[in-house]
Amino acid sequence: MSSPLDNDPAHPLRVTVLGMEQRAYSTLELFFQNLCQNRYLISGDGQADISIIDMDAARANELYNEHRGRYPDRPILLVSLTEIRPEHEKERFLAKPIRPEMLLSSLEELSRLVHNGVPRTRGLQEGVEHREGETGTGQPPPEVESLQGKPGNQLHTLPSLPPVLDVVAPTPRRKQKPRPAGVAGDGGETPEPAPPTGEIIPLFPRSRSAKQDPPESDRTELAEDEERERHKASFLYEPDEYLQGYIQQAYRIAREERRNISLKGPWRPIVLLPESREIWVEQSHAHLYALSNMAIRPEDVTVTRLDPQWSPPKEGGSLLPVDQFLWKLAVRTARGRIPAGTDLRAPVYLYHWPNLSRLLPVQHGLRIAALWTRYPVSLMEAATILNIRPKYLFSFYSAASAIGLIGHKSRTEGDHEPPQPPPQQHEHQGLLRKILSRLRGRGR
Amino acid sequence: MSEGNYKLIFTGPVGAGKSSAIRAISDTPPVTTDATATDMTQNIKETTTVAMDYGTLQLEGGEFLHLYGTPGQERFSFMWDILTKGGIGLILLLDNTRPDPFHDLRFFLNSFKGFITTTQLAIGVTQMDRCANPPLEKYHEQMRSFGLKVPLFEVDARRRRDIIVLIEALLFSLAPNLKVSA
Ligand SMILES: Nc1nc2c(ncn2[C@@H]2O[C@H](COP(=O)(O)OP(=O)(O)O)[C@@H](O)[C@H]2O)c(=O)[nH]1
Ligand SMILES: [Mg+2]
Repeated sequence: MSSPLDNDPAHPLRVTVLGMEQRAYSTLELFFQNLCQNRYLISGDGQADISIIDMDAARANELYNEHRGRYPDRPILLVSLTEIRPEHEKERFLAKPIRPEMLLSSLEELSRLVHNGVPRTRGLQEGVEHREGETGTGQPPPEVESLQGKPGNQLHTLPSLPPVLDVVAPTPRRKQKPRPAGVAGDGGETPEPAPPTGEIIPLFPRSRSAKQDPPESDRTELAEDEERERHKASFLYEPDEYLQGYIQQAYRIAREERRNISLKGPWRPIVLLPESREIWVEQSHAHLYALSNMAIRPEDVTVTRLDPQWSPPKEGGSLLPVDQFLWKLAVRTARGRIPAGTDLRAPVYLYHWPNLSRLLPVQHGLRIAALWTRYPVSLMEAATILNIRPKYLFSFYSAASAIGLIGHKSRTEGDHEPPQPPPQQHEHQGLLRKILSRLRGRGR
Repeated sequence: MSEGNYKLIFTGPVGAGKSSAIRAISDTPPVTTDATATDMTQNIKETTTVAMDYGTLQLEGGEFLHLYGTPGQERFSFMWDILTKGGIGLILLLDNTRPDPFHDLRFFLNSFKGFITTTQLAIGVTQMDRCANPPLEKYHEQMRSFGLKVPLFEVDARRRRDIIVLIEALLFSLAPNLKVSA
């Protein structure tokens, strides 16, 4: 069974992507442009030959039904964290995180079903390429100023793509822990040998995410409650699957060993310098931040100890405070989510104020810091006290925890201490507000 | 604090950036009766020069926030109580290039102890572009020994944006649930 369009680079297959948040969408777009030799082209849904629907999107079912209703014959690739058994003969399921080779083979399979040799129908709607509306649920979160840029443009110049494309919230209940990086042929089951004096250090030893796993009881609940997991997945992410986690782990090792450490992966060299608390990156920051949402396999990452004499080359690359880099990277990776395993009800506090004059501003960051340095309250309580949307707290929380500032009080600690009295209204509330609005350039 | 007469106090050793900070945010060109750093070490009569800065920030409704910079010299300490009366909080600027900035830190925390306990404090470490050590981490350690967890940022006193972040942090420390109009 072969379509006349098959393997014809002059007639790329048009693919529309629905329900996918902005970054995932940009990643796919880049993937199609760079790695598929124009075999596939992103298009508006009215013109597409094949549709890809992110079934984890909010209102995914609605989206699907509506789309299927409009294009009863179109091959559709359904992507999701949880398995879906397609009922339509022209549908295939692809599990997240999306691996390029799997994506390609699914698309190849679907491409054979395109039109069954019938000429393409022109869509009822004139699809505009890369329409914002088609990217579905995820606009870049408004709290992050720098996200308002054009990630697409930055991505275009990426030298290479990591082997996993998916940039959507990974499932918090992964079947497999990622294997440690840098250890060839490691099955992930055998205990890690102590790092030899050799050069390669395994990242993410097996115990690494034990701390972050939800308590056993929660996990059972999760297993029983698919809906809840879906819901949870929308605001949880696994830092360890992304560049953020790799840098954090490498930095931890660097600090422990008091040595400069190099982190190699699907990016140009990164070096962590614990002495000066700096990170040296060869690549432009924009490129690295653009990588933030791409899942990276541990086996593609190696960590090596550098010669103690190593110092950053005089030309090329840049050096900056590691906290500054990690904070921003975490904000961009989290996008309003929190690390999987975070207890929403456990009181949270900050060890000290983050250096907010030098960190990427996060919406309400100063208020959140003021609260959490003085009143240990849970994420949910904080949202109520400050009367702000949880996603702002989530962004802040993820960034602050990436740089090691978050402390937890266990929920069960003590005999249910009465919560700290919420901060009262300051007697000069009105005055403070006036000063604030004056500083922010309003009111005179 | 009388209606329409509110104060924000800046303090810190000579060269820490008090004059710069006030200049960076004041509506009106600041009044600076500045003894130069060299003057400060000379044996001049106390009555002749009191290194002080003054600026204003006009608020909605015609009220003013008065910005005062007060020097760290011990011989001016008689001023501190007068100055801080009615102050909403203290901005402490520390110069990271000084021989012992932690000594400065302790000195000012002690000097303004009373004021700090009744209001709030925010600390800006300046000149870090010229000297990165000690890092902020070490300042936090010092603060822990005082049992204080206050906003502590790297700032360049000449940069309006930095000074604003510092003042905002002070305001939110006074009232984390301060409602901000969108
Ligand atoms: N390089 C650098 N210079 C600064 C910084 N902050 C202030 N200055 C400069 O340091 C000098 C002393 O600042 P000044 O405001 O007069 O300090 P004051 O004695 O506390 O009033 C001035 O020349 C400022 O321009 C900073 O963060 N970095
Ligand atoms: Mg001065």
